[in-house]
Amino acid sequence: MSTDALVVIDHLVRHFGHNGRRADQAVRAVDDVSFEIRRGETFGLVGESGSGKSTLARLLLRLDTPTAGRVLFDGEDVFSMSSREHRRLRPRMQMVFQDPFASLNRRKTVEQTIAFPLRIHQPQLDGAARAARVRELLDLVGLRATHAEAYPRQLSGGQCQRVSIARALALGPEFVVLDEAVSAVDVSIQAQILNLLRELQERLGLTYLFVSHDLAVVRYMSSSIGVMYHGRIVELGSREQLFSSPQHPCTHALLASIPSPEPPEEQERDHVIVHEELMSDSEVTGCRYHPRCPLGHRSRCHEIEPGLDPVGPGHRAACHYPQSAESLAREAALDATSGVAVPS
Amino acid sequence: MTEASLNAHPGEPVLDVRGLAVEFPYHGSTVRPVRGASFAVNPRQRLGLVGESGSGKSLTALSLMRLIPPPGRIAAGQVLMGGVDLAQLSEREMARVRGGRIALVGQDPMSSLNPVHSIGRQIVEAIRVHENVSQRVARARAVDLLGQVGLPNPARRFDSYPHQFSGGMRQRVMIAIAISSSPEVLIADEPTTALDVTTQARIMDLLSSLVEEREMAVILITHDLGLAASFCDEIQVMYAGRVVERSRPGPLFAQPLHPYTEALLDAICRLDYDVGKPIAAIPGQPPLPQMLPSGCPFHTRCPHAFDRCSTEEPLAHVLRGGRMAECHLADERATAAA
Repeated sequence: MSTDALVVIDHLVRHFGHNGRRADQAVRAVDDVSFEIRRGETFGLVGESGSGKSTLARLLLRLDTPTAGRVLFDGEDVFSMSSREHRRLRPRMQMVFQDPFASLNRRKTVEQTIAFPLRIHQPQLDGAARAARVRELLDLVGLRATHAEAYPRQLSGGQCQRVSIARALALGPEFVVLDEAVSAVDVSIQAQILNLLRELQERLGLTYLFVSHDLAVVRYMSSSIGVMYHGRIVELGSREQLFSSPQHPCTHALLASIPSPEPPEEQERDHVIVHEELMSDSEVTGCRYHPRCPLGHRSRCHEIEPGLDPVGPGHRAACHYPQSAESLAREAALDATSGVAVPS
Repeated sequence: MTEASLNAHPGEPVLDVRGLAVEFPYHGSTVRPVRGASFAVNPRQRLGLVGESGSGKSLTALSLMRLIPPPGRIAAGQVLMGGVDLAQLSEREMARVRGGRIALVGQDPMSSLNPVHSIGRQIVEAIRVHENVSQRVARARAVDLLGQVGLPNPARRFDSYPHQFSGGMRQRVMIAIAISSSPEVLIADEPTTALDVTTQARIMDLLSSLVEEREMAVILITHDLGLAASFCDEIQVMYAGRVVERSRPGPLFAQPLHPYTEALLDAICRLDYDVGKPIAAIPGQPPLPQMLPSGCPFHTRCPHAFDRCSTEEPLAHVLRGGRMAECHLADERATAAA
């Protein structure tokens, strides 16, 4: 465990609905996930909906309780401390949510919203000091002082998201979880918010967990990236590794599915690697990705669940046959012609 | 103000929209979120209507179906289909066209399907609204349609309920309902926005194959220029209620003529973006219909704006290759590009 890790996620598990059901019927939202987030970096978490990204993000902030496993924040175990002790930790970790309108109280002005965390955690501040801090925060996120009196309905989506960011920064956190923070805003506004987030990171030395389903945005924002599929991290590595030499079929499928702005005749989308979602979670044995994987017919894939094993320095993939997209397509074609049975 | 339609699809357009304007009452006055949109859709064409929220793209599509929520209304213009102006039809006549000759697939397949009826029943209902066929015939057709949209085991899934399907499968059911009347035009309004990228790719493949098989035109409404480029053969960019640029996707991406299109393309966070640089964001916000700037609606955010832009709204400049841009600099920019 390196010393520059701010957040350490250690065999974290969160199952839902196992009460009253058989344990093997539980929804395995997060299932034995381990990784570290280094100080000052952005860790990107990418995956389809239902892959467990948001559940994981919420667990890190103790907005939910894990079934098993630990989260260490700056060396302290987040879940073993009392809620009183945790209250001391909370100003250091904050979150920005996806929907900029739903995450603001529509009966509160921008000033009231941003001042609220200050009232709770810094009660020693008087009204004038609080107001000054709110102005400072508005300026920091690119809003005008006149916005302080506005209600959310008077603001655009992009402005609301800036208010959410200001609120998250009010207590001077070290760690901010951005859960699909730009997914609900328009392209032109998305660019503004991404630039703002990077600027703030530089100025304030923030550490981010950046959760998104958009690979291009995750690549732009993150230095380390984890790809999630059905509760597991299936590939983990640096931005460079994940985008230059991806190894897991799930990562290949995500990359191949991005619509390219090139004219259609110049595109080649590899249809081999995009399979249907047919089985429910609890029916799957072995590798969870095998029902959608071009090599999923191989016996090892539906018998043994692969571990997240090294495929290069600092690069891991949970796959029995990690390889490039091209070689994956070749092997799948070979299997098909050599008559390896493909169970339907 | 209409321009000649493109030659990519010769023959009679299946849908010809001329000077369409949508109006809503606003504080004793009115606002127009759509201000004179004109375009033609040819058989088998895949037209993309691209814009940010508030650009008027969805309202344009809804007015083709005459589904503008009251008190909004179509205030001007024509929607011509086979020589008939849909904007002038009675509600009763329109009901036969809607879901018949023009069909709509919406964004959210969960809220478009009725949760308490089986999906089979919902398809049968759609078929029998537009055609006088028996329950048995309609059922057989529904099973067939479910097969066509790629649902495995259609006969077995006929009696399933929407909650038993994934988002992608629900959207397939919506498409089955939409094509049940063999429409000439299918409007797909952000059909994959609620879906994962992998599912999105499969749904777009399905729409592609349906266009080929059924000679149907598709109007794809999306905020995603990449998606529009990969699916459409013509793209219209909307801004502040106007179609500000129209082009085939290749030239549009290679050499955008309208500065808004150019800015929008630069603002997309692409997979090959230099991570060391800030993204070229467009300053400011898209204008609200009640607060449109004078002259060109984009001039307050435009890096190329000059005096004339703040006083005079540009007309459509029709250029080589059937391209169109509503910008005072369009001719100049096109020459510079060539």
